Amino acid sequence: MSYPVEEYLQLETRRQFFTRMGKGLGGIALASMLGKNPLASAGEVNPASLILPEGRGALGSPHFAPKAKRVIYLFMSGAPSQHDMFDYKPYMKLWHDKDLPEEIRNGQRLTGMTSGQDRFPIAHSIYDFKQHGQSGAFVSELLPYTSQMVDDIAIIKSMWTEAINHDPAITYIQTGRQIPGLPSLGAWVSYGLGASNENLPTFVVLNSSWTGRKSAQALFSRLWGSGFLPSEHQGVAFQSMGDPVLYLSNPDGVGTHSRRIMLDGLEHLNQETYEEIGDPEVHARIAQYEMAFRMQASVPELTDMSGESKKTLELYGPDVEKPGTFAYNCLLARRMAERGVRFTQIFHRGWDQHGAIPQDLPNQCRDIDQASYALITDLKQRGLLEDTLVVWGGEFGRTIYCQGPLTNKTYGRDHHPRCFTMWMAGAGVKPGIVYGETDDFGYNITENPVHIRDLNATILHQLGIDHNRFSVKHQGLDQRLTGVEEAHVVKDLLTS
Amino acid sequence: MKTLTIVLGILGALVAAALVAMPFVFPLEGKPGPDWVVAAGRFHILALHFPIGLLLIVPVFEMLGLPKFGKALRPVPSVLMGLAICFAVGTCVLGYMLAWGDGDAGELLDDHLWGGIITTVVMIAALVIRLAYTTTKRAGVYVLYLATLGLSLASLTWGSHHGASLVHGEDYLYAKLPVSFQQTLGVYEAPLPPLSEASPVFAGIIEPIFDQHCYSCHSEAKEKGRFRMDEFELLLVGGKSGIPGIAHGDLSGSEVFNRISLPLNDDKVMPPIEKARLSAQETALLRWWIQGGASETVTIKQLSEQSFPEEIETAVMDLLGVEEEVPEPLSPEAFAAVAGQVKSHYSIDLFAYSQNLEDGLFLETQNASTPLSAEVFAELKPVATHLVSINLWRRQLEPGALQRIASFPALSTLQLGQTNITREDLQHLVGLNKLRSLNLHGTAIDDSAVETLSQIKSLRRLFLFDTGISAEGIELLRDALKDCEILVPQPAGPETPVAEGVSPAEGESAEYVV
Repeated sequence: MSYPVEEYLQLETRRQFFTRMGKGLGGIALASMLGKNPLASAGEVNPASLILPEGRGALGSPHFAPKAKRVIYLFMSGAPSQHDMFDYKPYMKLWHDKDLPEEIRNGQRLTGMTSGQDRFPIAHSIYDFKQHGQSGAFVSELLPYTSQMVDDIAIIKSMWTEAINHDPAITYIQTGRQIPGLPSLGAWVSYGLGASNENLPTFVVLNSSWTGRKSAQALFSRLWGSGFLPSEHQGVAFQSMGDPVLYLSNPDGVGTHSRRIMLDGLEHLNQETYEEIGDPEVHARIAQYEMAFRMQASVPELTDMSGESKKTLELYGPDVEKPGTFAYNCLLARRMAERGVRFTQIFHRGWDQHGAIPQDLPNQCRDIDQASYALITDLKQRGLLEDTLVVWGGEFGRTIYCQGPLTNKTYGRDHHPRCFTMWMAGAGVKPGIVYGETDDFGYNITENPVHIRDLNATILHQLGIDHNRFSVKHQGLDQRLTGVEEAHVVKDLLTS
Repeated sequence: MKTLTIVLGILGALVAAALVAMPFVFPLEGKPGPDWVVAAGRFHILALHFPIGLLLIVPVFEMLGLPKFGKALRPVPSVLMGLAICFAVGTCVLGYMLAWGDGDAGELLDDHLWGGIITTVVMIAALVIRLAYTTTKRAGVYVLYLATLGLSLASLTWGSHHGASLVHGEDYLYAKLPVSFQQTLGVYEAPLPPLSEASPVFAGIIEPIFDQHCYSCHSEAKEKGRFRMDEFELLLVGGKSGIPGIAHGDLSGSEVFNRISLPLNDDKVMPPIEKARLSAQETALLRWWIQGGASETVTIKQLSEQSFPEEIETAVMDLLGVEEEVPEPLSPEAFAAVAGQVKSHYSIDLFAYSQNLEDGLFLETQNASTPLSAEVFAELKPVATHLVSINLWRRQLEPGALQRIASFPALSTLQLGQTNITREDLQHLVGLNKLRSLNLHGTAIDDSAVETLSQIKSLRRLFLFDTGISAEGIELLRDALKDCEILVPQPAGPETPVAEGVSPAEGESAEYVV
């Protein structure tokens, strides 16, 4: 049990605070004798961490030795069509334009967009599938580069979720619950493990431009928010155009020295506020100002790609030259992995192909295909894939049946939560496997279902965190990323 | 009575002749026969007890019949012997079916086979002579009978001992006798010298595996499939199939390995389905030895220098009884002290892999601002045996900075990508025998470092992307470091471009009408 007064007393003393902050500029941190975070419940904090140096996160060290030191999460917002990319259903050719049998749908809730349709005609993918690599995984012609790396990745065809609309679904996969307001996966990781590089944020979010369907779901900052965790753990979203981080450069006429004096003064005021009201969020604010100050030097160095060889740039493809593209962001993600950024999440929007798959999907795939391949290849050749976990996927899948009229020119697909495809690579994920199976209609999972909670538990596991023991007291509950329902680490996906 | 003796004599002679002819008419070819033959043959084990028991009480009744009051018992031995002969003939036939059906062959089996046949033939002779005595009552015939009976008992003892040896193994009878007894009997075998790095792989590791799983059917005693494994030359020759049992350096050409690798539902899988499998470790050791040339004399040390994959290392360490060196446990206070010190002096971070400090420590240097010198590593001395991984990516290293790297015996991962490391610095890594992963990408290392790198036999992954090492240098390294994956740049992607999104024109025909 912890009480607010105790929590307050456990916070750093004013003197310790100034010692630490004053030397923050030089990057010197002293062993702090007291607790890390007042929100941490006693069960999960390692007693040893109480005497460990700064910057280690609430866990001090992971629960067990991790395979992954960092994560790069490639998020395809809008839900990519697994039927046209990974989940090959040759039998559907015979069912083309025939109605989906009622016993396959089996009372499944549909979205308002198709629930009114008279019929649910099956739309066979027009794209060719071939088997690739040693693993023999099927990948469609839309992903010629991904096809070349099937032996480096684990394709999961049996992902599922309960949510059927974008906002609840993306909130669910990002935070573990469909209702907004909880901390995101990246924030949990930042909170638990802390920073490795003090000069860059622990959790970075990169938004990408896209070339498919222009009207796309908005992304809200709460998707990378920190919820009830201290707000310095929320993702820092870089801009896709112009300065990656806004207002990072000093205004004209303001030098580094005067900026430092200003920040010291501001800290002083903030600290007084803190002593008066005891709100830990004031500490978060101070930490963020300090981070911004350090980022004034580290971000320009990070985003300066002039040192990248021509060969590397060619690997990522021509898009890499344009800031804000998925390819550019993948290269940036590799640079952050090198520099020790704990969690990088790249969002790529425009995957919501309700209609016009033949018009939009190839463009979406081209945006991400070569860049994803380049990222895996580049991480691998630099030895980073050993301890960097890469995850690719969206918030749910798409239906085998056509949304709107199925014509001989085009077809669309509605939201489908019962099965969808994701892939993972690196950091102890078995390379070259295809996991899980769906029925002949690609509608229901027939083998090895993986719930999005299982995915999150598995990601935490690779980082050395037991999702069951990683909790924070909030509103009278021991809150966890995986919530109160069962979640399982998918051991079959892991090397050992 | 006389007629009966003559008839039985002729009959006995015919049966004896048939028994003697049996091995020549149906020779044992070491090829398994139909199941029903085996099923019937297995009753041999049951049937054999009857003739033995019956024959053994014949002398007893012979003695009981000697005194006057025992006169009535005098015909009993003939009856007992008659019964014993009937059972003996049956036992011989069943035994032969068992051997023939199972595809057994071998010297020991031959001894047992002829032991059984001779015993039966001599018993027939003894009975006929006894009957002759009862008609002639000549003392000389009785003496001849007693001699024949004695001979049958001796032959029985000899033959059944070989039978027991077939079932239980040849040393069953003496193995547990006191050593002095064994020495007197001349059957003493000195235990193998303790396994060491200098032991031959064959005698020290492979033979014991064969002994446990194979010799009971494939040795001097029993040569199933006409294949003997107890002598190195014969092992190479192979059995009836004509395929070498073991081929030097050729896994798929080694029938022994092929057979143990078959799926369990394959008829030809070895050891036979009802016997214990080789463990994964034993299979791995066998593979290691065959791939390494399958030499009779190569020592563990020599073979491990050629190739020493991790699983083999673990297995060999187990066999050698080498315990992993456990470093002194690290106290959280000592760890925190060193971590705080290097942080404040050099802004480098010492992390624990997990809350269990026994999982080891790793060093990150992303926050370091100054060039790193040998003193940095000197400060890590108190945790030296716990340091598993060091990341020096892109750091400036002062000359000689890596001098002390050899004092981290547990070091398994070393990231030197994009550092100013030189060939001379690499020399310091040669003593690190736990080093598994070495990253040199983006450094000025060139072919002159190949020789040094070749000496780090423990390496499992070597990253040479964007270095000066040529394709030939990489080939040399691949030859020298057989268990090491060497990562160099991959070819960039496929040639075919991604399909453009199609905007179907009005009235255009469908591309995908089924």
